Amino acid sequence: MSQVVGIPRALLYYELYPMWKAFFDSLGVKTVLSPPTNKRILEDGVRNTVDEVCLPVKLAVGHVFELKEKTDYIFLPKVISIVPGEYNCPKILGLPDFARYYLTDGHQLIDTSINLHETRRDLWKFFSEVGSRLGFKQLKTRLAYEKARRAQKEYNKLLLQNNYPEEAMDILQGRMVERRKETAGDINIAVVGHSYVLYDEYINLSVFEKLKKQGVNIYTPQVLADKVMRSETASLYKRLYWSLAQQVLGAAYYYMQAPFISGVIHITPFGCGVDSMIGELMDKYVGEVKKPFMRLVLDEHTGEAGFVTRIEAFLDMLKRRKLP
Amino acid sequence: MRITFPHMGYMWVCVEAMLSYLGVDVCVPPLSTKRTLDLGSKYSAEFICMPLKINLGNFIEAAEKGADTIAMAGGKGPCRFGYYAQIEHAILQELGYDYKLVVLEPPERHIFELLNKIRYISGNSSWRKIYKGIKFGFLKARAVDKLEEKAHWLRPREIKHKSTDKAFNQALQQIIKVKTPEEMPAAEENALNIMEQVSVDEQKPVVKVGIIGEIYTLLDPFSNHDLEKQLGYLGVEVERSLYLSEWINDHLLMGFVKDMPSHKDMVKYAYPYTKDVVGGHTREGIGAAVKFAEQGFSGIIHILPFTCMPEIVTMSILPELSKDKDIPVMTLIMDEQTGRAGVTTRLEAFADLIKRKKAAQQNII
Repeated sequence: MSQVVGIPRALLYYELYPMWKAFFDSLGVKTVLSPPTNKRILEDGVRNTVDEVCLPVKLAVGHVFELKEKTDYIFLPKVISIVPGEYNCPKILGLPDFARYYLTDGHQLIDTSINLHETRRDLWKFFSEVGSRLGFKQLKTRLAYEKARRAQKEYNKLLLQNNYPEEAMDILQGRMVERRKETAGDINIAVVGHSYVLYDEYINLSVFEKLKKQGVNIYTPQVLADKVMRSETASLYKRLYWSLAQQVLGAAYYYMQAPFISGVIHITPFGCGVDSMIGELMDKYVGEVKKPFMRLVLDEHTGEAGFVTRIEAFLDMLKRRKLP
Repeated sequence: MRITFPHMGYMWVCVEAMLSYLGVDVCVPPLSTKRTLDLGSKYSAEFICMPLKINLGNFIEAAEKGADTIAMAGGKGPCRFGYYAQIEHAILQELGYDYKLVVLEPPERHIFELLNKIRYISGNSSWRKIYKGIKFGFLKARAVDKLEEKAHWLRPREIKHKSTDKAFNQALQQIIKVKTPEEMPAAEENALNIMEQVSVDEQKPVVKVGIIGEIYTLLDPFSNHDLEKQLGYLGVEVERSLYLSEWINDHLLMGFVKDMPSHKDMVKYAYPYTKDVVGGHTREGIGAAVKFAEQGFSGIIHILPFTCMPEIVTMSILPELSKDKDIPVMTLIMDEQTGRAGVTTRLEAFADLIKRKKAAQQNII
């Protein structure tokens, strides 16, 4: 059995990859991860999607193209809901439905639905379907499923210890020794946004590097416990029904009140529907707490110079505020 | 308590009927105009979809007429509509409008969840009265839908330009002025009779186009620049994938009325393309497109507001569907920047294309 499953390094990769990886490893299935986003991936993605799709989804399509030649299967589950009562963004839900057409004969898409909208127990339903699709017995799949869940728990713990997603993955696989990141800068800034925007350096033009060079300590939504972010948004009139938005808004609210944070930057892809809603709520809140706030909108045409200028201006403003 | 609600095409006819029958003080916002949209766009975020902007404008204009309570539908996601009421309310508060908000969430388990809210708005009317009120509103929605369907057939065949529009407006007045459910059947017959008076050329060759897409831009002539009328003048008979009464029956009445087309049937047609939830009307839209193609329609027009999340998925699937079924598809994206002349030009080009395609096919045969 020499099945090779390709996993795109895009979208929910930053949230759920350790679970996928542990599952396939335990089954003895070889997996291939697409490389970090590069120019070719971007071009493939942009060329093959309709204009209206947001940049992260375009890149996901690019990653599918990258894996097409090297694998038998492409793992692109339809992640409808990962928390009961909530959903994902419709574009993420719809991705497998149109990504299917990019694959030529002989390639197969694993587009099984993960739908925990009713109950978390439905996660097993998803894994058992994937297992039987690849021809494994229930028992073996069950063991792999247990391992996958454990790996995901470990991973979430590592994220809370201030490791970036890809570092946490390396630690989990024993490729890197655990180490806390140094906090040497002289100013604390929160950068909020979807994980697939914050941690894909190609999309965000290495914003973290740029900030660090200026002596900034970065705080992201991923270092906050889920509980904290949920309690921040609990005062909303109605529960937000997008899990990822819940995270971003909760983190933004938290950091906006936190006295040790000097400013908040919200990074959003052009035309992001979910962010347009929570952005409205953020804007309202930031007016109340009077914290410096900047929104950077990114797409495939974003120029680096303009981007850097805005970051510099923001930092200058923060530094000047600190002066007596 | 002076209740207002957002506009969506002719929905106001049915909502006003229901609420006034229940003895509620209703304030219908002025019909959407450029001013409405400008007001809404001014105060909302750039990437929020257009229906929210129009609704916001409606509420600001309704406040000028003295409304103090908003009643509107909610939702469970993943489309943004489910969070509209809350966001709009927050924006209005910031602008200094003191609105009270009543959100009619679609019933999850039992229809009583919705009925209780309606009972609250109506100042605790009897259940019998509420039942009659809802039925009245629904009958009006259905009657207006029938008129619209009739107009879709008449418009491309009319002999005198715009005579259908004139008849439609007269007929609509017949429906609007009815005050009790008992008078509805007579008024409906009367209205349809008025439509029958339009003289048509039945031999005139027409092409048929199916319209699918996001519900608001689909049902609201203001936000789609009178798409159906414009196509009608070009000699195109249109059919819509969705009507207001069907939506009410499916989502608010939980399929209570049985002899109506339901979204469940449409979803089945979409199976080869998408099986599971996407949100909004993606599955219904794709299903309708497949159905239109199989019924021999000459083309499909897909309409959505800029940044609409579920419809972008539809838009991404449509090229494949168009290839499979050999049917031309055109997507129109609407927002506050869309110019009417641009839409007209595109519709003319599309109508020319499908007419020529049809002619070519007939020559071969």
